[in-house]
Amino acid sequence: MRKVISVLLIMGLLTGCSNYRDLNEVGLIIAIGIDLPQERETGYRVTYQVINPGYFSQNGAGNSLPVINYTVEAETFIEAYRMASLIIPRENSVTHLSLIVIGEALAREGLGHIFDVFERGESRSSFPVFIARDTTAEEVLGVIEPLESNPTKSIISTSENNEKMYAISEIVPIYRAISLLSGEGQNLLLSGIHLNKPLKSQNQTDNLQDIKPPVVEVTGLALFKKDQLAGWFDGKFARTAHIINSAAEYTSFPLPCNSKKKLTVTTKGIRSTIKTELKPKLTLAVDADIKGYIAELECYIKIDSDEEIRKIEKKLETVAESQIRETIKMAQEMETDVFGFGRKLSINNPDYWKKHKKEWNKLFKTADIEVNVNAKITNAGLLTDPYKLQ
Amino acid sequence: MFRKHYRHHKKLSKSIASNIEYLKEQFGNSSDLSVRNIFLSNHGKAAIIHIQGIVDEQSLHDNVLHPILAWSHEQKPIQNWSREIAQILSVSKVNTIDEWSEIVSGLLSGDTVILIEGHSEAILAGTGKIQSRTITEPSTQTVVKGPKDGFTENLGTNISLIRARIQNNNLRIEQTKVGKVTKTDIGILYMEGIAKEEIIKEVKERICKIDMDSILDTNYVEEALKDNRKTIFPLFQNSERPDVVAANLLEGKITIIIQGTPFALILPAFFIQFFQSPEDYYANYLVSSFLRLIRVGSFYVNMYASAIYLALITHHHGLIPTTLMVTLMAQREQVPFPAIVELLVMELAFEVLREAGIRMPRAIGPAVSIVGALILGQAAVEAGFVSAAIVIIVATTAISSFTLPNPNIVNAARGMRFILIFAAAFIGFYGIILFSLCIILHLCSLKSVGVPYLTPLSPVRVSGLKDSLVRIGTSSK
Repeated sequence: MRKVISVLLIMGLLTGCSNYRDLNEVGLIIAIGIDLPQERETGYRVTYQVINPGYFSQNGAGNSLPVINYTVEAETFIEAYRMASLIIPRENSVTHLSLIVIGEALAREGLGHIFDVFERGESRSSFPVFIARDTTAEEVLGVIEPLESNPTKSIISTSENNEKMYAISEIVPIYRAISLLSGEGQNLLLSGIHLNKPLKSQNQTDNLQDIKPPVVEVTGLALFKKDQLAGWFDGKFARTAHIINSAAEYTSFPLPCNSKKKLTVTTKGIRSTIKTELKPKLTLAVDADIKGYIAELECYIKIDSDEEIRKIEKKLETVAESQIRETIKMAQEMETDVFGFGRKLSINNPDYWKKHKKEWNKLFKTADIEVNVNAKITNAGLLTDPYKLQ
Repeated sequence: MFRKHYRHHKKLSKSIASNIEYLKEQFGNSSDLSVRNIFLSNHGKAAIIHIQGIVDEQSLHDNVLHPILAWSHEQKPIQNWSREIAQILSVSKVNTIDEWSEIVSGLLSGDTVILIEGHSEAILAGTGKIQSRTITEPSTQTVVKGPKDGFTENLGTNISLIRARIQNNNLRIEQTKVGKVTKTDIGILYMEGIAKEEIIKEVKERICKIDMDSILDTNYVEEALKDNRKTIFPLFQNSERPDVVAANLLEGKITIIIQGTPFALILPAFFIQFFQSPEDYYANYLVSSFLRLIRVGSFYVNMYASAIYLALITHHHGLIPTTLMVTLMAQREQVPFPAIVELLVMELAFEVLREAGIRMPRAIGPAVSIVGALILGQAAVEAGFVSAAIVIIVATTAISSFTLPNPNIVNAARGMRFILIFAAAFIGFYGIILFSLCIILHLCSLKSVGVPYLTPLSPVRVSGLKDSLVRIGTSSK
C-alpha cells in the first residue's frame, strides 16, 4: 500500500513531464498547401488548413465555416510551423494531416527535398499529394463546397471517386511519391486539381448558397522530370497513363457503333504489362488485357452473335491501342519516363541500363513503341439486343 | 466484559432454588429466560427452563412438559430419576449434564433444561428451533432457466438443500462453532474422495485458527482464511445458490456454510470462475460459450474503456480516425474542465448513484433514477459541463459491470479502473500497459488456499481450459 501511494505521489509531481493535451487546446491541421513565397526571396508560403470544431458542434453550425486557413511565409517548413503560432490561437498538431497540395509554380521549380519534413515528423505518411494546376495551393484550399463542406475532404473524395469511376485521377500517397523521386527508372506522376471556375465572391458563405458553385475539379496528371514538373496529361491521356501502369480498373470507352451513333464499353479490370526489347532497336512494348461489358448501345446490332462481339472487341482494341501509343509519344516528347520502362530495363538488362542510364531520357525519346491490346467483352448488361425502333 | 459470563467451572448444586438463582444471574435476569416451576406429586419440586423464541413451543409442550406431568402422577419409587425422565421425553436429543457451561450453551441454542430438587444434574432436551424465512429465489446470481431455490439464513435448511441435490454418503459435513462471543455454527462440506485431502486439512486448520469474537457473514470467515489479505481480487467464491454449491462440491471444492447468512463460501476459487454463471451449464454450450466471452469482454470494458478513451483524447490524437476526432473535438469545445477531471467527476457521480441505488428505501427508487438519468446525464451535457462522449463511456462502463455474475470481481475491476485512469492521464497507453503488467504479475502471485489463482490459464491445465473462457462439449462426462 505504501508503494502504491508513493507511486501515485511521484506521478503527481511529474505531471509536468506528461504530454497531456486536451482536445480543445489543439488546432488540428488537416491540410497543408505549399507555394512559392510572395513576400520574400527564398523559402515557402505555407497554408495551414485548421479544423474549426465549433462548426461541428450541435449549436455551432451555420454561423461559421468548417475550416480556417492560416498562411505563413518562412524560410523552412518547421520555421513556418513554429511561426504559425503567431496567428493560430491553439497548439497546432499535424497528427491528422491528410492532404498536401503543391502550387504549380513551385512544382515547376522543383520539389527537391520538400517531403523530408513530413516523413521525419509526427504526421502520418500515407496522405496524398496533389498539384494545384495553373494556380496556387492557397487558392485551391480556400474554397468551400456545399456538398462536402470540408475542402480537404472534398479534394480527397472527389479524387477517390474519379479514381473509381473514370481513373483520370489517382491518389498518390506521400511515401510513394518519395520512393519514385528517390528511385531510378520511373518518374513521378501526380494528380492535378484546380477550381473549375473563379470564385464569384470573396465571401465564402456565398458559395454555400450557390446551386452551381465553383468546385474543386480533378484535372489531369502532372508529369515530373526528376523533381520538376515537365507537363500535363489531360483527360484521356491521364486515363491511359493509368491503364499503362495498371492503375485503372473501371473506366469507359465510347466506340463507333454505326456512322453516327456510339456504343460504350465499361471496363471492369485492366491488366497491363510493360516490356522493353533492345534488338534490333530499343522498343517499348505494352501488353494490355482489357475486360469489359457493353453498357450502352445507341444503335441496333445483334450482339447475341459472337461475331458482333468480336467486332466490338476489335474496335476497342484499336481505340485503346492508339490511345496508349499517343500517350507514350507525349511522354517521349517531354523526355520523361513516367511508366517505368527504365526500371523494367534495369531488371531485364542491368548491364545495358548501367551503361546508358545517364542518357536514358534521350534513348526513351527515340525508342520505338509496340502496343498489343487484347480486349474481352464478357456480357452486355441485363439485355442482349437493344429494342428496335419501328 | 463478555468473557466473565462464559467462564463456568462450577457444577450444579443440589438446591433447585440456588440453581435457578445462579442461571438467572448468568443471564442477567433476561426477560426471555422462562422458568416454569412444577410440582412433581411425590418427588418434590422441578423446574423447566428455556429461552423464549428459540425453542419450538409446540414440541416443548407436547414432548417435554406433557410427558413429565403425566409421569409425575405415577406413584412409584424412583431409582435413577434422570434416566427415567430421559426415557419418557419424546425429543430426539436428550443429555444429562452437571456442568454449568454446557447448560448455558445448550439453553442458548434452544435446548430446554429440566432441574429437579435434590439432584445436582440437569437434563437437556433438544427443542431448539430457530426462526428462519422460507426458501425463496436467490436475489443475486439470477438465472432465466434453472433452479429457483436459494439458501436461507438457517444452516440446517441450507445443508438439506445440498443433501437433496447430492444424495451420496460421500458428502461429508463437519460442523464446528466459531466466534468467541457469537458461537456461530459453521459447516464444512466436501466430497470425500473428490476433494483433495491436503486442501481439506489446510481449510480445517485455518478455521481452527480463527480468533474472532463474532462471525455474522461469510466475509468474516473469508477474510480470516485469505492467503493474501492485501489483494483486491476475491480469492473465494460466494454463492446463494445450492445448485452452484453442489456443482462445485462435485468438482472437488470445499464449501463453508455459516449459520445466519444465505451466502456460502466456495474455495479454492479461480479467477476464471468469476465469469461463469450457473446458467452456462443449463444452456447449449455454444450459446453459453458466447455469453461467457461477452462477460469476459465486459469485464475488460469495465476496467479499461474509460482509461483507453482518456489516453486517446489526451495523448494519442493520431490514433483516432480523423472524422471521429473532429466529432470529439466539437463535443469538447464548450467543456470547461480538463478531460481527466471530467471523467473522474462522471465516474464518481455514477458510483454515488449506484451506492444510492443500493442503500435507498425501495419506494424512492424511481426518484433517484430520474435525477441520475436526467440531471446528471442529459442536463450536464446540454449545459456543456461534460461532453457527450464521456457520458457514453461512463454508461458503457457501468452497464458492462452488470453482466458479471459475481459482484466481488466487479469491485476489483472498479478499483483497477480508477488507477488505470490516472495512469492513462499521466503517460497515456504506456501507463495503461505498465499498470496492466502489474495487475498480471499480481494475479500470477495470488493463491487461493494454496492453489494458483490463474489455474487453468497459468499453470496451464488442458482439461481445465475446456471449461474456462468457453465451454466445450457437454458436462455429462
